[in-house]
Amino acid sequence: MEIAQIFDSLKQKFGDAVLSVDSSVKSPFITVAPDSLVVIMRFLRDDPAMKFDMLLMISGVDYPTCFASVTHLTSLTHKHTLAVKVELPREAPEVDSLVDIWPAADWHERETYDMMGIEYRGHPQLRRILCPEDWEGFPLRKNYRQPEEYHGISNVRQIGDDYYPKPDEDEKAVQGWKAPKPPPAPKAAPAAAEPATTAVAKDDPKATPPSPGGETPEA
Amino acid sequence: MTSDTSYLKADEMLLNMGPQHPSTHGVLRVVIRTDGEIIRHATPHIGYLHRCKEKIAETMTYPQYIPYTDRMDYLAAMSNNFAFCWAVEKLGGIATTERAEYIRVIVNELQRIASHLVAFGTYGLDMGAFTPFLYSFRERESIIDIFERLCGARLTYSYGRIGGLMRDLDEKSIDMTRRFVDDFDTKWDEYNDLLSNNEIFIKRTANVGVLPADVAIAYGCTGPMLRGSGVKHDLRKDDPYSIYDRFEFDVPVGEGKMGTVGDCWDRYWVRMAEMKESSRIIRQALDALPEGPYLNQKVGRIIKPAYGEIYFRAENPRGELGFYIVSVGEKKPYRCSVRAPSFCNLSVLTEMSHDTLIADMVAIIGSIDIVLGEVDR
Repeated sequence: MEIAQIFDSLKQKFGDAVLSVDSSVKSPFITVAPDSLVVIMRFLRDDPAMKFDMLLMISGVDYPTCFASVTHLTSLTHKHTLAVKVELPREAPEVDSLVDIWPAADWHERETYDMMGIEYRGHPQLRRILCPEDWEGFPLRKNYRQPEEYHGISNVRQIGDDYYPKPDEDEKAVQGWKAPKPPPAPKAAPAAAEPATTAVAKDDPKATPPSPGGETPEA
Repeated sequence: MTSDTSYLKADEMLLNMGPQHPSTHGVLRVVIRTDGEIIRHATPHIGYLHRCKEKIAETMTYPQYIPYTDRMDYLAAMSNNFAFCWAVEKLGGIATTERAEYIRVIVNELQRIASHLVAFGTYGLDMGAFTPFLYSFRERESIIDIFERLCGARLTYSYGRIGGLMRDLDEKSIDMTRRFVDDFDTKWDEYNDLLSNNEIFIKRTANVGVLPADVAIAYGCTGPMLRGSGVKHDLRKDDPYSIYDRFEFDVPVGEGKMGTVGDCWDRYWVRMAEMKESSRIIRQALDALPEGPYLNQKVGRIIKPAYGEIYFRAENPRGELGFYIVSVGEKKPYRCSVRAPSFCNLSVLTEMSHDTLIADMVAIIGSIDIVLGEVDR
């Protein structure tokens, strides 16, 4: 089923809870209202025409205006995929858990909570999964600052900040990088060089270029 | 873990398996609540190998990230490289060359054989059979020698480039690949004599750790885990990417030959049968390998895909590897999220190991074939 059809039938059934569809991107997605996420997801799993029986991934995205929790679904019966996005306010990113619908959501929601700080209401045990349980902050947020130490182990470089090139210096180096030009052809000494000498020097591969201030090469 | 153990019944005890344990295939820790020999509950703890791969992706350009994909599933580094390259190429509308796609398929399938050989060898090791490990590593060595010729590395290859490959497949490598595939078919029969049909091995794996198809689907298991439960789902057939629709091959599924559908032996057997299918694909690809450039020379160092997002999925040896990339028109991804197949496959461990014997736990973990580098990323 195409994304436009899915969007139409969702819009028919759930009305204003289905906000928008973005088909301009390579993997189109549907945005729904956070409060209706669970009912819509249950419909997507159970409806015979949709039958999204497998949850592939839940990931969080930190947009400048909001957090987004993106759920990727696939159907093994109909072989189609779908991305469903909910936009959550930055102050309190909270949304209902999908564990009751797909048990696969368990670890994905824990990971998104761990990394992005999105709370999933109703999750049986929403605790960190990859980071240690006493870790501070949510690392994948754009405004995350790495703690300077963890249990007395320093995370700060001791060698000094100016040791490494700044990121923008590095980028300039990459952008300005060009293939090295071949070294310029040796020029004959301006005063002593006669046209005849130059011609001979060209023909003779052994002829050495005049060193600055040295004697002119013998023809 | 809480130090409160009052919830334990009188006959129960807590057992800690890992993180340093030979049969957890890396730094996986499983806390097991046992009643004598029976496992009542198993809780996997992961994250010991977490290296912030997704955060790192936001700080570097697309081509710079390719070596980092190696270190996720380090037993199938080539497949990870190509999956990331395909994702970025699709996101940015970048064309590759015909020859590059053929070489990618050949190398991808060689990598699948190499990865399954490790699974086969270490699974024998888990079950107390030491010899298959030596034989499987002998054959894997031949594949690694081909890869070394291609890119100079033996484990983390970084061979994929956006728009093509790092180097061409030369005549000698083609000859080596042909000879390997011919040789491998006879070796494959020996493996079956050695392990697949071994009475002790069957006793340890058949009817153990049965994963019904509906549970596998609900937990998002993919790859040999899902196919072992009898579900015929392979992205190379069902959602073909690259040029996989040009080749003929079968998708082996578990049939309960030695016990129940979805037991450890079935998952093991699906991997064995897949190696055979991979060698079929390699033969066809070698015969049809076109001449031409191996890299789209128009692709520059700086790639700026237009605003947009993509979820690209590829069939890796362990299942469906997905890259979800959000681009805002910069040279670095705004967000790069990875769906690691081992991560999802491992999440079903609690369900599978319920009310099994402790000794079977080793058989179950081995049959999932996890790579902790990918679980933790």
